Amino acid sequence: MADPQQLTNFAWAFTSLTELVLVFYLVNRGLYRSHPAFLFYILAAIFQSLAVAFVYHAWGFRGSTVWWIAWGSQLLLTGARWLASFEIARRMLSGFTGIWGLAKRVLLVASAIVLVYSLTFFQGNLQYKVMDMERGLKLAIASFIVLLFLFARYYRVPVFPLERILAIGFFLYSCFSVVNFTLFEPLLEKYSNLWNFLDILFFLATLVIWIYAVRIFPVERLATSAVQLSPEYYGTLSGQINLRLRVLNDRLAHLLRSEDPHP
Amino acid sequence: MTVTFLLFLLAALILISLLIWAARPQIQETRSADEVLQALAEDRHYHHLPQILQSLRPEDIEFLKRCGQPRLVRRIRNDRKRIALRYLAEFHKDFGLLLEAAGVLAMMAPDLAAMREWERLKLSMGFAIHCQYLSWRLRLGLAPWQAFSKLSEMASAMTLQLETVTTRMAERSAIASELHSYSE
Repeated sequence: MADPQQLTNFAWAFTSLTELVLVFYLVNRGLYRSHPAFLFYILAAIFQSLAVAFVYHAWGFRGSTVWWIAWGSQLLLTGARWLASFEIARRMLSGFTGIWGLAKRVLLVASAIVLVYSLTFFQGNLQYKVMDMERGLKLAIASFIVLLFLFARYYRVPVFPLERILAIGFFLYSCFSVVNFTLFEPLLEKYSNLWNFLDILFFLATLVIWIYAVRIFPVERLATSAVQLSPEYYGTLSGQINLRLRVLNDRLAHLLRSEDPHP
Repeated sequence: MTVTFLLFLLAALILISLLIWAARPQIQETRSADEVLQALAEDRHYHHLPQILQSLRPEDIEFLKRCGQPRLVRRIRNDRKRIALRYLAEFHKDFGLLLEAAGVLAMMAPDLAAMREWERLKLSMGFAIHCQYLSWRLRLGLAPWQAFSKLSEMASAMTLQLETVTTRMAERSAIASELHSYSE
């Protein structure tokens, strides 16, 4: 039976190769122009893998410097992941100035709230706190993606397949990573290899989904509204529509209040 | 099992459920801005409310009961339930159309007022819950027949108000379209 550490290393190397395949497709299909933050994130992931592999090879797995290099770079990588998610949100909504203006504020505030919520569960020493912060960032990314889809659905904004799949990939990896860390948190000393291996597997699955999306779906131009209303028109019409909605809602509430159970 | 574990797991489950709901493909047809505004200006379902309410009046049921026609009473009750449910569905459609128009407006707007959007979200959620509740009451035979008849008094005023708003919306949209075509 293979040594768990060897298995993890093999999965890690295979993931790096898959990342290279993704970079090839991103460059080949010209996505470096439309999705620069996404390309930067994948390149950063490759660079981080190489750097950490070099550090492990030179100084071994133990030691506080090694730990800080590994987790510090991981934290930066998660930040790059958040930026790539933000780029997808921009591509989905920025064609609609008003919606994007509101969505940007809501998404940023929501991400900050989720991050703060996660950080309230700080425990243990400083090393654990860095890991907690990474989990918080991942949860913030997952919430960001969900809110983004809710926005798109509420305003009936068309979501192109490439953006949809890229966003779902970010969500799946972030969410499973949060669950994985939460499950293994009390057992990290004992099962760190298994935890690491599962995390790499989730990331590998996400890479496969992204490669599929990048290969199959074309890069669409940003969806925009052909007509732009002035702020005054929007204010008046929107207020009137809300008034009508309230009238219909009140009628229904009235129905519910004045019931007669006997037909 | 710690509180942290449960909270994070719960958060993940909620997020996954929300994503499945939000990321599913839209089954309703997407209409253009012009089509939505055109639809708003068309004849609405609540225009026929007085006739529907007329058919729901309880007097004839009372009359049939007095005449000793239980089978006929049952049939008429079922028919009325069906009519009331259809009316409720159309009422829901009218509300949905207004929401769609609001979405179209939001797409064309240079800036959205957060409080107004929040109010609309609350209204749409409240309406959906009320509608569902009323629909279940009707299905279970706990029908608010009396309340339906009260609607007739308000129907004509509501229709008039909505017509005014939608006509104005269509006019403004046409002006905006013209301005846009001039600028091109």
